Amino acid sequence: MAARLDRREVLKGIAGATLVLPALEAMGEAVSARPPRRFCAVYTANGMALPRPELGIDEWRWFPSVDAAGQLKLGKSTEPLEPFRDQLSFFGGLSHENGPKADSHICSDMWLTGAPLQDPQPGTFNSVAVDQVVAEHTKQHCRLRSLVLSIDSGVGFMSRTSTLSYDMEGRPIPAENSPRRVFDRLFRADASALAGRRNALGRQLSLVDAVLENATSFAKRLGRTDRETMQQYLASLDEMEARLAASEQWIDTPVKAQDRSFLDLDASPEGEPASYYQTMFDLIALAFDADITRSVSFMLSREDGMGISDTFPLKLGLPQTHHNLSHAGDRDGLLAFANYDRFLSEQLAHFLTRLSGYRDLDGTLLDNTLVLYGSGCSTTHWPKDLPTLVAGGRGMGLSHGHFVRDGEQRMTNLYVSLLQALGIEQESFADSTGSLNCPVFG
Amino acid sequence: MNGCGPHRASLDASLDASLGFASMFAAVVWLAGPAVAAVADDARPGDLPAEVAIREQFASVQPLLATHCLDCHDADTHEGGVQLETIDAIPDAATRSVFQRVIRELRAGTMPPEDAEPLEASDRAALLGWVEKGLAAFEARPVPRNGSVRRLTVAQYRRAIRDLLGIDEDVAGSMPADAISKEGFTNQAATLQLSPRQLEASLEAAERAVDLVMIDQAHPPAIQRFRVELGTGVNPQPVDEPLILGHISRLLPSADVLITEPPLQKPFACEPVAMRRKFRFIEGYQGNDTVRGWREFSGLEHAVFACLRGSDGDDVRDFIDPRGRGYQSVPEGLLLRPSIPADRFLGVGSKYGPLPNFKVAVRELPHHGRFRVTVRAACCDDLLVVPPGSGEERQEDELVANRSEDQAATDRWQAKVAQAGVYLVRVMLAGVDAKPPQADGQPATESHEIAVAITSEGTTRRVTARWMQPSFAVVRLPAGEVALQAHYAGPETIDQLHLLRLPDDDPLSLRLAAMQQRRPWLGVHLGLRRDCGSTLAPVGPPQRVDSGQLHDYVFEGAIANFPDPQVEEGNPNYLAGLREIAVRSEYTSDRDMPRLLVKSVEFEGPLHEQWPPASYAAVAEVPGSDAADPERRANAILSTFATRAWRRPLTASERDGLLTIWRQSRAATGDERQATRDALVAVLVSPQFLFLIEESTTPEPEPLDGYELASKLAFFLWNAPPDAELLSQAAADTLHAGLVAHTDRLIDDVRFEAFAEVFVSEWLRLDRFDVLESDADRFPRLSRHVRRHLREEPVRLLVHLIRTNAPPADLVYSDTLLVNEVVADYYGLDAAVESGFDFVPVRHCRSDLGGLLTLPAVLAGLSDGREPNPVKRGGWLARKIIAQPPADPPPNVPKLEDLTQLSLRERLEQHRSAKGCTGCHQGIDPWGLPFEGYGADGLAVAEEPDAEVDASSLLPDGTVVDDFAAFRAYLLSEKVDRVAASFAWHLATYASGRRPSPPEERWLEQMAAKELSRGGGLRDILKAIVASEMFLTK
Repeated sequence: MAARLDRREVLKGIAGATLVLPALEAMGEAVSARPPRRFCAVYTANGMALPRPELGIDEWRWFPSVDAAGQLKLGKSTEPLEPFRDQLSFFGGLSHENGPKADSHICSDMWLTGAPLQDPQPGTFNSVAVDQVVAEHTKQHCRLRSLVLSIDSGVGFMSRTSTLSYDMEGRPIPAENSPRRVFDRLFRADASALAGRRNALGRQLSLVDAVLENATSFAKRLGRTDRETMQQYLASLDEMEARLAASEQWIDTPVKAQDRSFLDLDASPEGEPASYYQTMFDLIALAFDADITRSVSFMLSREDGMGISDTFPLKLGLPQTHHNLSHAGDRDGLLAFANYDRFLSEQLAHFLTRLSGYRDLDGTLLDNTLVLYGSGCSTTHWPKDLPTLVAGGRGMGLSHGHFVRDGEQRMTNLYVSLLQALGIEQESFADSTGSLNCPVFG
Repeated sequence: MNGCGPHRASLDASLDASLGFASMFAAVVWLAGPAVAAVADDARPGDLPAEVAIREQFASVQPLLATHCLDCHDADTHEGGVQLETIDAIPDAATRSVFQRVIRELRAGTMPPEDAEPLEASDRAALLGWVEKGLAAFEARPVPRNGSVRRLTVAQYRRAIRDLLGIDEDVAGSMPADAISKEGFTNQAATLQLSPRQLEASLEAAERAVDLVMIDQAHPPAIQRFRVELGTGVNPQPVDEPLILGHISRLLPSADVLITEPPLQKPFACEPVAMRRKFRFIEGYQGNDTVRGWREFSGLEHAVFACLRGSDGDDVRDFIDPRGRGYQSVPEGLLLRPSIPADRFLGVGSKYGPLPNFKVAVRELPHHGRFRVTVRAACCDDLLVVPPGSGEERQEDELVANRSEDQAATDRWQAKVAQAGVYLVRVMLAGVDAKPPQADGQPATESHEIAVAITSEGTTRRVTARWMQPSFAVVRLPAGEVALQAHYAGPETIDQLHLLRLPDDDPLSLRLAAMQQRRPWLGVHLGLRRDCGSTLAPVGPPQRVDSGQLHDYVFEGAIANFPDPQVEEGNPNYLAGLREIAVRSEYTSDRDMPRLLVKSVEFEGPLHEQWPPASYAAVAEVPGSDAADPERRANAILSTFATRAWRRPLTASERDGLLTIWRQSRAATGDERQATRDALVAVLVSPQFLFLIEESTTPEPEPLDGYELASKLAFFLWNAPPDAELLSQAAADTLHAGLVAHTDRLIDDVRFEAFAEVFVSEWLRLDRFDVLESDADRFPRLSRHVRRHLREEPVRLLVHLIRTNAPPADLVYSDTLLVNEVVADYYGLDAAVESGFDFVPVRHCRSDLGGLLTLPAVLAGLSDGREPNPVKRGGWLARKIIAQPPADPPPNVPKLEDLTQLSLRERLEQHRSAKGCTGCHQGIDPWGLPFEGYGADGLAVAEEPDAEVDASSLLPDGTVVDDFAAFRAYLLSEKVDRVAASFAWHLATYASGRRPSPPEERWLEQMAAKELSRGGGLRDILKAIVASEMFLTK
């Protein structure tokens, strides 16, 4: 308790004297020479269309081909990404070692974690997701440690998750799906409210402090009663206190001025899919541009026909739901599925366009952002050869325009490469055996 | 601890679970439960002699495993997800299913496969011997009980805040949704995580809630009140200024609408909110076009207006109701026909809502607090517009009305009716025999509206409809003089008006009589205007308007729970930020309905019956809160509040802890109110409020204390905190002794429906129906309107079955349905039900209906909206109804072969025969195939000679059923014990917030079987669970 109170006193002292913490220097001002490095993971469920050669529609395979000159040739389902051909690379042959061992629908739960969900460690739920590792290393630089977005809010449930992100202890982080709520979370702190907010935060902080104290003594009294849950409560309270303290620091730092008038905050998952996805991507780009967070995950659709995203293909005039489309084996079915892939490529292209449109300290936002896009299975229930694409990051030394396919490789090795590109000195992640040896990361 | 003695005794008795049943019928509280604590304290599981023997047995069969199994099932290959290399002699929770699977495969002879080393019969027996004993040993192990700390679900949190603070405003909107457990429930301790985000949302919600309650009582409230009166000529000073309302908008004529701000009449000081009357806008609309240019507006008619947007069907393929105009101003008020949901005839929602769509648009409403909408309305003594094609053949006793000779009144006629009764009104147009309707029932394009008014004995009945034939309307008239008035909007002139007496048994007379028996349902909705329609939410359920006399119908809600336009102050668009109060005669079905007469609509808000409000008084004006010493005041308020919030008395240290928070806050802010507020917030983010806590000191089961039991019961059976009665019983420690009576009270209470809503939805997976995207072309009747009621049907049915203690077999088949008019119409039971929106029990006499299995909310939900899905339906039946869940699918499931010429059924057969798929699908598909006769709309497919439906199935036990009827008969004769056990298992899981342990599972099965054999019902099973050790210990 004493340590916490000391920290509180320190923070109060600083705020009172309007000193600026060293960590705040990078905010908004061009103090640091190195531009911020950011990470965004975008996931779609149920895999991508990969029609067999005998159907004669190879041009609709999601994976690209490479011509004799080594040039990347995009298929029809990724054609909308053509303008970014030299700013992205495809990866084939990747998979999670644990993927084929586990329930076939659990691939989305595992996508960013690689955890052995078929045989989880006792007392654990999942393991940390790579976006949260990024968040852990970047949180001191920005207002929000991470932004967790999904088509369906909350966490869903194991094997049908509705969030991609798992905290450092492997607990699912509930996702937000409402553009308006995301907007409020990111930007709704106008100057007039700041004083009140500081006041409120200060009060909340002491309130949480006091509750924590009372709850700790209550937990002692409970003794052995369901110790785990009580510890989770205390840990959450502690984390909340840390967040409040962090928020308190940010109060005097204004959010970067931006044009946000184009946002369609009424877009909703119940409405038109493209306008919903594009609004969410707009929000991510704005958050990156204002350096509000450096780690984002966005789940575009859920596995196995869960949730509203399953109906999007129907809304677009395709004949079946997303999950059913993904099960197609015939030519027409696969064409329809591939057309949905193309729709998703259009949304991703919108995002990359937005990122390219913002100037960063050095180059564009896209140059300093790693966008990971893919699925946890190649075709439904086949958790190998995961469709994977990495875009952006030229400012971090990535060289693009490749289709990397070097036998079978571990997805977690790609994650190690991504973390390292982001400047996070980490030798391993989950079951990785090293980093990915390929021309993209030099 | 009351009841401790018998409890211990029953623990001993429960070594033999069946023995315990004897006591279940005695008036003893502690009934038999599972043998969780049957093992002596000092016996650690691994040391049990029986387990030592199993380990020896395991060692002896290990060579067999190596020879016959490990080729495929070693730690590296683990084919089918099964690895036996590192397996232990006795399973744990994680490997239990592997053991179950091995037993199944060995018994069935499906493992080892044909291409592997064959297994001698004696070796097979030896292997089986070990696996079965190992599994049994695991299942017999005592499960340690360490009490429980279970977070309230979001729904429970919401109810707790509402009950505690007396506020209806939903403050928990930003709470992340609860996860769903493998068992399908959101209230399971294992999945109710508490993340920092959730805690943040709790803090946010607690602050909002406390701020709403702890108002400044010294400041009198400002209250808004206005009234819209309706009726031809009601406004003596109509304004001529045409309002610009945008696309497809109709304003009621200014002369027919009177807007006033009546004075407030309150028993306390308050200030009226004078609505703004002067505005300046730059953007407005002309038809569908936006117009720009600053304009000044002045007058209350720009702050409030009565509008009928989209009511003429302009945006829905010019739909015109042949039964007459949807709305009509008359001197008595505004007549409204039922608002037909647009998707009822279009398959999709019309942007502009149902027809007609009467709304009061308002520029300003309060943002917080309760509001009240009072509608003065009556049921119209209506006449019936004759459906085209009928009435024309009647000829006898035609009475020709005399046209007025006054040249200024040629639209008036007189007749003298000799005998009271039903009369057919005929309107002859000069030179036209008829204008028959189009093929879809819509009036011919050249037919125009005719308005008829019939006056007798001082009463005037009016109707306006398209003229399609001379036989126009049927009306009940007294004997005597009748004055008629008619106006035709087309080019032809009215030639003659005839009245024709119909016998009382004439079909049209009967139809009029049936209509006059019905009563309209008044509904009020609140929301906002958008450029493309409205976003509205109902203010409570619709109310039946029984009387022909005007009465006030009151609708109330918390305004913050309704859609809010959220525009900034001074938005320059004339139509931005408008809220709308919609008033409707709610549509039930296509049957004839008398029109609803609306005389006035009045709004008041924020609504206060007293000042300070009751919600404030309940928290801040408690015994001791008037003490002179501020700290004593705070102590009184905080102790009273925390005792209610935490559902039990406070300990001294808890009391001190809260007071410390108060002191610290007061020291920091110097503000007593602020300090009290902070401490109240702290109460609501404390674990004592957020969690259901059952304190335990040992791993042995211990009885719940009275308060723990009160909370557990209430959150189980009401999904809400305990009421004062339960808490006072807990305080008196009489809850255990009166458990049966208390359980009965909770079941019979209206709050029991909140339990049913959650339990039924989650048990039967109605969430699938919620997100179903149904094929509107193929299933036009499965409209959003109908779905809302179909969604409610399973909940109503189960409430009925439990309350009436129906036998478990009724879950499979019951001769009674719980339906309202909407659902009855969907089933084609029309005539049987005249209850409007009320769900009532109905005997159905139909072989395709009855019970849970044939509910459209279930069967349609288990489809993709186009085709039924036997795999989903089979999995559902196996899991939910007979509790024999199939194993999880193994990794690398091969796809259904691409053989498009085969039916799904045939492809499934192929898939089933593939290696690796057989095991699971033998436990799934056969349960789903008997439902093949039900379409993706959840209805039995109409019997067409060409459409051969193959609903036969080879069930896992070898029984062949030919069709659904045979399947249902099989379930009733062979599986009813499984149905009862499944109900008990799911209910016990839900009740206790955790999955039953293996001994508890066995006890549940035995208990259900016992109830079956003694003729017990669902209510008995529920009460047995409440009285069980599983529920009553921690």
